[in-house]
Amino acid sequence: MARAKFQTLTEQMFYILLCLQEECCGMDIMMKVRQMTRERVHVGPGTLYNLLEQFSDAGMIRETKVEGRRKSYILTETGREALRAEYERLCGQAEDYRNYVGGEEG
Amino acid sequence: MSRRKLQLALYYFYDHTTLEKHFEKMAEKGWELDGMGSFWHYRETRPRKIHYGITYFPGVGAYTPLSGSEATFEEFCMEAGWELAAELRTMKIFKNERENPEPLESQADIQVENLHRACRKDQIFTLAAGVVGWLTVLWFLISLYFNGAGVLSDAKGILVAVLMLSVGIYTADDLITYRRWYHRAKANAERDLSFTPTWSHRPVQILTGAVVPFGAFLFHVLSAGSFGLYWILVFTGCFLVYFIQDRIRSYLRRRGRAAGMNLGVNFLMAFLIFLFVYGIYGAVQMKGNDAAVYAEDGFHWERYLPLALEQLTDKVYRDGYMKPYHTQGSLLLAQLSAEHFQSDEFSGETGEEGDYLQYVLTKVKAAALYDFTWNAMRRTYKGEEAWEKETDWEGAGTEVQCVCETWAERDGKKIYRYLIGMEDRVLKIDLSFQPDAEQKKVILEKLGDI
Repeated sequence: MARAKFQTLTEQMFYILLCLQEECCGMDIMMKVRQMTRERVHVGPGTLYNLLEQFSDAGMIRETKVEGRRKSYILTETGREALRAEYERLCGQAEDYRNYVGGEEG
Repeated sequence: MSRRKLQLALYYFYDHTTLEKHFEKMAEKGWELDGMGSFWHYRETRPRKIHYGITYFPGVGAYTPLSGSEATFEEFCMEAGWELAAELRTMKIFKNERENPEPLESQADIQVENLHRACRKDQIFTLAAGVVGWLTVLWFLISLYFNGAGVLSDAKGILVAVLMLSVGIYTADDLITYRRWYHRAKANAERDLSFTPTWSHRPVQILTGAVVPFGAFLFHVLSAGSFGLYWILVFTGCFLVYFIQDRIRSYLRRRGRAAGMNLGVNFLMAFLIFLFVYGIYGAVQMKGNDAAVYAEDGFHWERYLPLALEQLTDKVYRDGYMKPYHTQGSLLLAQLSAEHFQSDEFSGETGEEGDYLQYVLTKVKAAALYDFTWNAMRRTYKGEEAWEKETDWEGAGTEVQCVCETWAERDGKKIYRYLIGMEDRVLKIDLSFQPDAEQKKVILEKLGDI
């Protein structure tokens, strides 16, 4: 079944929004995501560009400044809520895991 | 200076998976991609592993100036080690020499939708080309029914029809393959975020994009008897336009010049090149028109018309009489059609009705097509009544196999029409008078072996 847009976030979406809690440009995001996830998650430049456009269109981020080719963005309240909702969803999943698997192991 | 190489670009615009693999193989052989258009442009380098990644940037046209967001996107790619190698419209081909580069795209659903948006315009263009192709083929088939001998003796028409058939099949395969891939890729991306590689049918591309067009062109050249100055000039013109235009277009686009200006400069340049090319052709043609003997499309004759009214009657036909003729030929058939008639304007002034002669002579080069030609001409030139067999046509040295007669009407006047089957040719002739035995002999003599 098709997922409604941004109802749940993919790993890439999640980390991009997480980076944008503070103002940064596209190239910083690529680097930060790699550092944040210890090279586990990579955001391809094509995907990053498209996601930034889509987040911007959905009002989840906003452009803060343009320096030459560099555009900087920051999270909006809508984006922050989407990020929080995703965090709660992941926490819920983790709790379910602990209750059913972690509990048995313990 | 490194050597360069061109490769005919047979590909479907969306099929980046196949293209990426192809460019990687070429790089391993020592050929690095550095441009694209109707051909892939390569330059020779040391053989090595280069990764290629293709992505699409919706909204970019071949002539649109480089936008800020496009430049930003290219910078993102550069940061990840992807350097722009070539681009055409929305397609951007990047190369990366890092050992394990991070992919250009890392989320399948975004990638599929982006590709779909970027290819929409090309799909419309492909559909339009396909429709034109199939309509031309349909027109060819209808013409084949109504004027089979005329159609099969027109090498240019056959060339166009075969090329359009190729275009029709190529574009249909492109569109169908794309739709199948898109639906599958979209479903897979939505289900588990996996990317479905694109694919295309290589045999169909090679057959319709190279083998059949080349065969059709060869047929045309052989029909003409030589490669011909015309084609040499056309190919030279096309190559000049292609190379110069490709460079000017990219240069102006990267300099941020408006699409209208870029397009205008390119059109002007193409116009000037073809004006020059056709100027040369025209000059050579004018020089070559002094021949005393006419030799066209396999017909050879000495007078302006192989058969004119003067040769059938004792009258003199000067004022107001016109003598247009036309020849065409292919490897299968050759056709000469001529008319000798008084123009309407002139007969209107004098009030006299002039004599009339018109004929279509089809020479059958492929013997197997004789019956087809006979039947096709019977159908094409059917008169007011059904064809009836005639027997009293005999010519000195010309073997007449079969003659049919009917009549037609021209400007309210009865025209006698005959269809005459000879050894290697079929003649349809219209006359404003019923020919006597002597006139019949002249007709067969003049048109029986030209």
